[in-house]
Amino acid sequence: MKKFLLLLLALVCMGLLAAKVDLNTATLAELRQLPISADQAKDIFEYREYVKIFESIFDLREIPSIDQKTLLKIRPLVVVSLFQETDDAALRREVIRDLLERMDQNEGSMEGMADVWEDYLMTPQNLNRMHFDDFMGIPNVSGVDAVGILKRTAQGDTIADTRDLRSSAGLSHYGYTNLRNYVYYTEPPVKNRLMWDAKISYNTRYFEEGQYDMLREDFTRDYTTGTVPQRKDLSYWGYFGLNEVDPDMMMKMRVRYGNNFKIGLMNSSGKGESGLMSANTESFIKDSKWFAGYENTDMPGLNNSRLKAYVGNYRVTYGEGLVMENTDFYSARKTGFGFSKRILGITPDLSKTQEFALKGGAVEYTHPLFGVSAFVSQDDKDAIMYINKDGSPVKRDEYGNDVFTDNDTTSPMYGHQYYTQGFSKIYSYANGSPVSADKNKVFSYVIPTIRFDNDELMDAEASFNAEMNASTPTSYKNPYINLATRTDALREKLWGAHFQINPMIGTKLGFTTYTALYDNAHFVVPGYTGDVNIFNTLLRTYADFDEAHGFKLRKAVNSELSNLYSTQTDKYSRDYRRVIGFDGQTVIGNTSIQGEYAELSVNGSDTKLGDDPMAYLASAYTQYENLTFLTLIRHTDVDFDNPYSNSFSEHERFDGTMLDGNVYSLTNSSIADLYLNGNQAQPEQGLYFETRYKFNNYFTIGRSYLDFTERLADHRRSVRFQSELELRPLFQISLRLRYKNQVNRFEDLADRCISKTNEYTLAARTFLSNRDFLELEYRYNTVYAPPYLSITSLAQPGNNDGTAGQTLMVGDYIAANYTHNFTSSLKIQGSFLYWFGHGISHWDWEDMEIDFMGEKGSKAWVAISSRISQNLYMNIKFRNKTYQDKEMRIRRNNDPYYSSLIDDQIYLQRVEHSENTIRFSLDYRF
Amino acid sequence: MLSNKSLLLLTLLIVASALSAWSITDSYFGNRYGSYDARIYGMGSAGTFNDKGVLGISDNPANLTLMKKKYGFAANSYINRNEDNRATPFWNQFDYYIDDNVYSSNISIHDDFAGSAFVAHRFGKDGLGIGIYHKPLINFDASYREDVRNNRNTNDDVYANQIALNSIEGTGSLQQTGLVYSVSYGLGEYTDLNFGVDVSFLNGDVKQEKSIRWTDFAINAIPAFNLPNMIETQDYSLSGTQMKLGTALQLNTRFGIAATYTPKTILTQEGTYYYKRDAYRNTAVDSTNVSYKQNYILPTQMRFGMSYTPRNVLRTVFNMDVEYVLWSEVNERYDDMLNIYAGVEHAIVNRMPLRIGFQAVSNQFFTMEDAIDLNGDPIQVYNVNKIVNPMITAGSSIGLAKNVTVDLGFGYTWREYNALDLFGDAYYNDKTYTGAGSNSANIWTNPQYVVLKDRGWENPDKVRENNISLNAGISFSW
Repeated sequence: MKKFLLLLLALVCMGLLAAKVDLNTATLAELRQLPISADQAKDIFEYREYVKIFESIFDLREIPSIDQKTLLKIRPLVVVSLFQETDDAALRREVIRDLLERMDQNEGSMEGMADVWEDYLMTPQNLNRMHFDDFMGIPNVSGVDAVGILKRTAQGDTIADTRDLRSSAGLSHYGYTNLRNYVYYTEPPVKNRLMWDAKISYNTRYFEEGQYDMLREDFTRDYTTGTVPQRKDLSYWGYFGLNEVDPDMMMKMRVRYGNNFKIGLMNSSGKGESGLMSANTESFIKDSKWFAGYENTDMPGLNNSRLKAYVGNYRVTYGEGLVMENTDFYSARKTGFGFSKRILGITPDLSKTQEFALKGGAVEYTHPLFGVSAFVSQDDKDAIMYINKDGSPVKRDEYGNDVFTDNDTTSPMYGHQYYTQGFSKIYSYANGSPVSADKNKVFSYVIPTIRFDNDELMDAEASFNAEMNASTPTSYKNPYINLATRTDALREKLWGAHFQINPMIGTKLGFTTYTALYDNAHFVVPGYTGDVNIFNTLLRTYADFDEAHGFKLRKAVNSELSNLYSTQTDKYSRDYRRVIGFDGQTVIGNTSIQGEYAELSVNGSDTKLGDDPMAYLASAYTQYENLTFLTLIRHTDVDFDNPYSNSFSEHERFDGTMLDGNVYSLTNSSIADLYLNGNQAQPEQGLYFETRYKFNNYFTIGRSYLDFTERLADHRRSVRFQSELELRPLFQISLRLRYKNQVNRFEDLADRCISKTNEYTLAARTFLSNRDFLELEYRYNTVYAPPYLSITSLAQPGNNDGTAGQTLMVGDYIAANYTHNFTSSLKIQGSFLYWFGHGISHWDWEDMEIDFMGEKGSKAWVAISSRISQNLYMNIKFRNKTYQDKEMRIRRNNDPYYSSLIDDQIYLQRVEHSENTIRFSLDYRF
Repeated sequence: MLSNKSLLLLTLLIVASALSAWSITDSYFGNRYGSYDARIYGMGSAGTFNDKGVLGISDNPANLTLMKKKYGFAANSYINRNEDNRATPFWNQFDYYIDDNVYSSNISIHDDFAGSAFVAHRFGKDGLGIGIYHKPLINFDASYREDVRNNRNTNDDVYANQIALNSIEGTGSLQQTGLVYSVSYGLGEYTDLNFGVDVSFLNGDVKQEKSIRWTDFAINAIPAFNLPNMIETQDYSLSGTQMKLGTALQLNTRFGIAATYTPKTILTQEGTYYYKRDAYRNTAVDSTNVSYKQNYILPTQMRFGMSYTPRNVLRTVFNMDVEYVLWSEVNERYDDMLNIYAGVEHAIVNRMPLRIGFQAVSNQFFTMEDAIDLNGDPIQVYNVNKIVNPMITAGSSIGLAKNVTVDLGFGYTWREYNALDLFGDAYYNDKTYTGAGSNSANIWTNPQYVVLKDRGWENPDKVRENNISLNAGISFSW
């Protein structure tokens, strides 16, 4: 009877419920049956459709047209069913949304890695099946952390959840908090399914200071000739009308099925480059990056082995990046620890890396005990080429002769190829065969600031050449542009392989090699002496390298320039480049030791160590619960010119050479791109220490480091120290004090002196409710510098030996950063900075870019991030930088050999600059 | 060799492009500052699919029945502040081009008004509507002044003598009055298809004047010689009709797509061109006074838009438009252009939305320069500059009553580009007017260093312009 009554009651309840309207499922027509107006029914429907699912009946009161009376009237007639999100991807996205948003801000070298991390955030890896290298690719996870986990899983233990993970011996707090977002334990949070994401971005950027100088450098006559035409169109800047606002545009789309099948396409066109609007299908495909890949983490056969296979653009990184880490972007002090990570192995590549992109096929098979991978690539690269006066490339024969074509129509040998010996033209070799050459003479790989169309560039050079010819030809060694950038001019075929054995948990030994073959090119860098030497090739006038007169450009003599790599010089004659290296890592207790040794094959044997230019890096990383300590030693030979090397270094290649500061002396200013966009580490040796220590919840020593560096090209020595102390008396308030000291000693004929930088920064941060954030920052900076003539010279010419001492530059800035979250869908961020003085630098908090500032000015930006729906994000950022700059570039002020300058006055003119930048991006993730 | 007539027409075209609109550089048809619906203006003018704004019927006639309202009325005002800074290349003592320094800075403000009304009737799920709107399509208001000075007395912190005053003044606008018809086919509660036609009448009177006037200082400095003033005016009317076809499809509760097609429109431009340069020394007055009638082309425009209404705690609408303009119909040297518009509206609190938007519109402008070819013969060099105008917008609304809303839209845009000097320096070469071997020391300081010649594309002006605009409208709809 009791059962019967209960059943009856249940039936009555069901009946009652059935008669009620469920606000979360009712159609508009059903809502209209309620005793409310049609408009009110529509408002309820739209609230559910456009605002949120009803959680309770009282949510109705959030609808303006529903008053309390109406609510009470319909309350007995409606129910609210429980709604639970069932889409696993949507649920997962909510968990990791902050991390995803942070990833999206990554640019440069981090950009490609962010794609991989995003994928692993969305569809994590099974922690219990991960290999050592998988852990090493995750931000803030160290070898010691990895060993702590792997030892457990190797013993058959299965880590069941996050709490279980936390209890792993040896796993640090940092490692744990970062790792947990990238892994799952028993069930993946997202089942295998089709996912895609797409992004378009529009960015009206400005050039950086060095790039401005390079592009504005004119191709006018020498001062000695008297007349100077003062024509803006004799520089790349004026010729190509680079004043115009011209956006960088990028579109990217990736589709994947779980973590198994992946495809992607990316097209990017930069400022000054012909973009999508002028692209046809063929050029669109050629200029785009794409990939298609297959990954399987559960291969049949050997237990827990995995396969990755990619065609299209892919990225390869091994060891410490000495042999192979292909990116266009330089990143200083890249340790491989903390956030400064490498993702080891083969990954798909849709980053903006264009020059050192690999395009072809790559395959990787890994097992906990071993790994093997191989990759091949064929891609046309941009290069600085030797060119003839008509812009055509200089040809090179197999004997190392520059070969020209006789274009003298009166000559009986018209149309034949020849090389020169003294003044005579040689048309055939000793064996009687005609002179022939089909390879181009190439100076270097280059990442151009603007990838000008080759034909347009040749027209521009012809125009500049015409102007230079009007001068006395003898004022130039080469009275025409003899070196120029050409896009896609160098055909590079590259193959490489990596083998690895992992004899114990946390220990591995790897071997990496790659060989790049140049089908249509000989790399040639002239030597230091001889008639055709490096200075005749690079420098505009004899005077610029005239040592006898003691000109300051002599500094080029000892620079890295004279040691540029060449695949065809007097000591080396092959048209390929091969790098071979070993890497290894082992974990002992709480210390991880790793290193890599690499050799570039020049004239030694491939199989013998120590007979070729080499580089090595070794580091030891010790971690305790609240202390980490890293010691790193590295060395890169001057001749170790491996463009695919992106290992740890303090500076990028050619820093402090004439490509950096004396652009005007170059035969073609765009050669400065070798430095300005250089990806490669400079040849240096050094010792680096880094630590973090958390005393307690209130005091932390943040990333602090000390680096001793010697630049091997000119033996310039530097010491750099930086330390950061954070006091956090309350969770919401943090005070940071940062100190940086840098001393550079120049061992240079021209600048034998020392520069010292001291930088003090004080920041107060408040973490407000709702993830709002406010920061105030003050920085004071002094640079005690060598006598920069442009600053110390009196406003009159002539010698100023007596007055030019050291220079103290003082600068400071005050900045404020603010983030306000209206809701989880709408966020506004802003920053303001005002600076005064010289030598001050600022690491833009959101921009991920460093900005060096002089004189005085201010910059401000505001960014609005709107999360339109669960999948769609829109960001608009507007930035303004307004500053006054000292525009004078004093060149030969102290030069007594140009009497015409003796009586000239120097006016320190100032110009106000205003730069508006807008960045717009739309992101879709599904 | 061009015939005299075509040369004249070309000259007029150039003059028109130099003088049109509130920005003095604006090309054939000046800047288009987007939608006149203030709500949509704040959303980056992405309003091809617009189911809320009464003035949206002028963007897409199919929006009329898409709104599903019976009556609507809107009045709108628009104010724009243009700042135009022109700079010459700047060289350091080594004759190295280092930057550009501003020699003329002008700020001008203009305003416009627009209005719209419609009635619609629904037959069950279907609907029919008719509407009218009036809005300015192109504004020719312009104001530009440029001083020509020597550098005398500048060491003593005194303004240098003014030698001549250059000015460009323009007034007038091309007004558009359109009749809009729209039908709607209901396919479901939140699904309907709308078609609209817009037939509009375009009329405008424009007066533009460009002049160089010597100052009393210069005239008195060499009283024995006549320094010729120059004036160039254009006075014309524009008239014609334009048609626009539109469609808007509400697919479901979330998505809507829309498209408009505006075929090439040929207007009649009829007026007079007057040029006079005064006599000097032994040279007679140079004057021209002609009447002309010619075609004035508005290019074909195709615009596609979408609107997405997701579920969001801040009720949200996201609109995006892509527009293709066949500029090559105006002149074969122009390239067809793609413009992008995007905007989002979030209801921060009830009926108090925040709107933000972005648009990137490209303009082109056409110039002609005298040059010499390889044989040394004089030729005309034509140059087309593309100018990108990125723009950010923001906006909000105030709900006055249930059906009455005041919308505000704010926009900021800037552009940087090269342009030829508007007034060539050779004109101020008093040697021409005195016959002397050198410039007069009474006018110029240290005339031995004064080299007055026109700058061509080898040394163009760098122009930096910005526009701040506010679009405010009140609308009633039931």
